Amino acid sequence: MLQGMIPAKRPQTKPKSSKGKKKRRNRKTPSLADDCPWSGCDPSTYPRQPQPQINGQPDPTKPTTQAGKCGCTICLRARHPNLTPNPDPCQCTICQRASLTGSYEEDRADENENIHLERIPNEVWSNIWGYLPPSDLNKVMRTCSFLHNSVVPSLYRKIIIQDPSQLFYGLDHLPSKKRSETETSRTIRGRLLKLEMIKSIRHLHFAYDQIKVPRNNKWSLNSKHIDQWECLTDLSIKTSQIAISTQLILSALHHRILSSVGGLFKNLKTISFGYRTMVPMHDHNYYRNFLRDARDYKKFNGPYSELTVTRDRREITNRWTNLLMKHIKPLHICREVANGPFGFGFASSYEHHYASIPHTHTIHYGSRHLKSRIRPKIIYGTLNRWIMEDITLTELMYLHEDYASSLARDQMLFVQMILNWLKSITLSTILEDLSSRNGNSPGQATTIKIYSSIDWSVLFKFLKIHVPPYIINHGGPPEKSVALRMEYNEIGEGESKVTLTSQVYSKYDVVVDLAHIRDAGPCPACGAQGGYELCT
Amino acid sequence: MSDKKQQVILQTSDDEQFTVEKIVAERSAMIKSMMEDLGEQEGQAIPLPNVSSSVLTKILEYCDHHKNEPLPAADSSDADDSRRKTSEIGEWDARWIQVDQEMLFEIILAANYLDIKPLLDVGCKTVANMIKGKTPEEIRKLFNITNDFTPEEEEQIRKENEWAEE
Repeated sequence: MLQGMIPAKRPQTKPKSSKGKKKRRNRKTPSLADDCPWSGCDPSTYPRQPQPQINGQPDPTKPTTQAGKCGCTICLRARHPNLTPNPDPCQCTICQRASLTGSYEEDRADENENIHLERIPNEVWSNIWGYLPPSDLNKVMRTCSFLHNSVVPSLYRKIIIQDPSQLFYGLDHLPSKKRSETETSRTIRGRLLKLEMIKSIRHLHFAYDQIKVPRNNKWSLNSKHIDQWECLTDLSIKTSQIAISTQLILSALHHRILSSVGGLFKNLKTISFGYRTMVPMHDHNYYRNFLRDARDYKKFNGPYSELTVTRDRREITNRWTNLLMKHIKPLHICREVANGPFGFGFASSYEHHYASIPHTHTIHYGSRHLKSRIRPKIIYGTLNRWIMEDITLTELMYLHEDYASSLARDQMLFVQMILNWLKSITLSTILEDLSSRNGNSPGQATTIKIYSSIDWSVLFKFLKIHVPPYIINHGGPPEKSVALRMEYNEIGEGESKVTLTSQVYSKYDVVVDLAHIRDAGPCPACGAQGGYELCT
Repeated sequence: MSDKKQQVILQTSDDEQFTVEKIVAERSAMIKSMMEDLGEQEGQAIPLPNVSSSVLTKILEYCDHHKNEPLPAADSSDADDSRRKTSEIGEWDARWIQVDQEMLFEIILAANYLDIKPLLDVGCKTVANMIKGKTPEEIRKLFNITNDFTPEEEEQIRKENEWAEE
């Protein structure tokens, strides 16, 4: 097959001095079907017709229609059992480049007409990408190979997806098993392989509201807010689609070649499920009303039944969780993100969380707990990261109606109230935590993140936190959120100190940042310092 | 400029010397730390081999306008984590950064070199805003990018990243 193909291709092969572009246009699309196991190795360019320009040595004696074995160690041909060795230097395009530049990745450098882009350092590019949404990054990726590779880490850091098959598209362009350790297998013709892109994923969010279902007209409740709750409709269809996705992921994980290249999701820290879009805090009442209506309004025609849907979804996410824990081992799986991936945090119900390693310790304390007076459950670990979410001013007003009526205009008092409330629950939760540990000392760093949508300017003023004016002036909540970090330190016998610091987030940053995990103190269980990886 | 104010001399790549107030020059974390290292030596120029005089003139304009604002904390690792991704630019900054593309990238490069974080952010936001909403072809045109993908590759890339299409 190979021999038949080459003479037909040969007349089109241009001398090396001609534009690389033309050479590429004539290339056949790489295919796995040929005898070379590496898709980057294109049979049509091998062996290359010797050109007088190469190393200044014309080599007319070289057989050009015979596929030969390459002597160079970088080239796959060297290891191929069915090919006989080629004399040095190998004429195939791959290792010629490799021997010239030392890395296949640089093979475009000599042809690179976009060298002016490389003047800008990579960290500046990634700074720029940080201001662009995925849809724009997607377009930047398609411009040229340099920007393609530059965008990958930014675009693939946090992925919101509804169908894993989209994520896996392109994975059949794989390096061979043998070449998995070498640098040169990371790219194909200068462009990062899909495999490499997937390795940059840190947070994978499955958005089930994005799964398209046929629109049921009976569902339109004639409100502009209802669109956001479209995610609640036809959940049974969506869950069955999630089940199909599960199969897809499973087959990808068991893929012969994929499993041999050292894990698809090397850097994955968080997996979550939930809605795609953030629901603004002020729409929560609509949500509540909608749910109430949905429960009461049994006349809804259609497949909707909250009970079965909840059960189905739970079962599916259970299966997901087990599957993902087994094969990917992320740090944190959240089965239900309350407000979408850019929302105010993960769900407050403990049963939705699965902390995979002992060093994560999470408490979610939200307004739900406040209202029901239920203590938040604790997922035991040693990180001592407590996440409180969903604390709103209206929430508090609702709970303290007498306060609300008399003090509505005095926001400072509300802030004071919130802080007092936070302190009291914080301390009591810490104490409870301490007692449940039977005297084991807690980690040194107790971080409490509070996501809230109260009036920032007042809060900042009260806390004497300097915040650049553009943060406060722009939009206000729910565009921005603040995470208050409350540090709890025991000073001495029965004495403790609580300090509050804050971080301002734009809506894209509110999701728990696992980078902070490294701030965890020593593990009380094993005493390991400095990070979860060290915990035995 | 009054004599009481401390002055710093900056020397650009094209050997031009700029005498500026210390408070203005200190917007650059790089110059600031350099001055600390060099100590208070009168009349000694700080060389900036990567910055041309035209770019420095422009940048000093920015530094002068922002000289009274608090410097971003040096150990702002937290701030790095919570990268603020709002792409609005202050009114004055937006007017100030209305320059041709060549100059814009020169400013970004210099801001990166001189370590002036707010300025770097302004530059990056400007570039991001230029890209926003454009098609790949428009972006290529904008930055004079040569398409080095084959049509097949382009299709492959489009499909690989289809999930990110809106």
